[in-house]
Amino acid sequence: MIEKCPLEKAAEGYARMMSGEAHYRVVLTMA
Amino acid sequence: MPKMKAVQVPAAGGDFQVVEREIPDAGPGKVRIRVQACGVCHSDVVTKEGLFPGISYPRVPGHEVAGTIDQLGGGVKGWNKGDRVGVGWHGGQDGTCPACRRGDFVNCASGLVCGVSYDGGYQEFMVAPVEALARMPDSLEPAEAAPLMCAGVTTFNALRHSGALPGDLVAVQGVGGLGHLGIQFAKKFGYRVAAVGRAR
Repeated sequence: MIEKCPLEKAAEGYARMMSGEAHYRVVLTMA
Repeated sequence: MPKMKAVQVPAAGGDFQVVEREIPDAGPGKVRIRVQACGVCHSDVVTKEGLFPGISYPRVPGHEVAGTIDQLGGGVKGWNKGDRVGVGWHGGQDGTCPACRRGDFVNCASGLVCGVSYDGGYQEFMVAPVEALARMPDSLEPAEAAPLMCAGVTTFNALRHSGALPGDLVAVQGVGGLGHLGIQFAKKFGYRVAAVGRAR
């Protein structure tokens, strides 16, 4: 179960991971 | 030179930067991967905050990589352009140290970590040594498959080597990026599964 995040928003994706609120893995995706 | 988008950490403790870089060439014994997806693991904090000694910056994190081989370096055998591959935390071994001679590559005396020792998956193209590659079926959707390279193998192997037998009660502590996979593996293994998480 993942939350997709575009590569250029990696900082937001990383922050989401660090928050512990992601359900459940943040995954960066390339266009 | 053709360019690509990359997300780098400029220095230990620095903020992420979205940058344009030249697409790297695969050197001998390596392949270039067109990255399709990369999981965000808490261990990326190692690169972000400089928790390992000797990390060279700027550095591109990411060790839950799913992609396809885009270019073969010199001497690479057994892999073809277009092959679907994954790269995880274990990013390569020397093949000659005592641990490697026992087949214990993870404990290589000069082992490499993807996204720590060299640039990882937070970019459109990356270069990895063939030792780091896992073959990945095309049937797996890249974004779903990427986390299996670290979160998946960590929980899968923990259960596989736990000694628990079908019907045993297994507790998975922490329902996060790893735990939610552990719960699913444990169920498929035939255990009774208890998930332990925060109350909200």
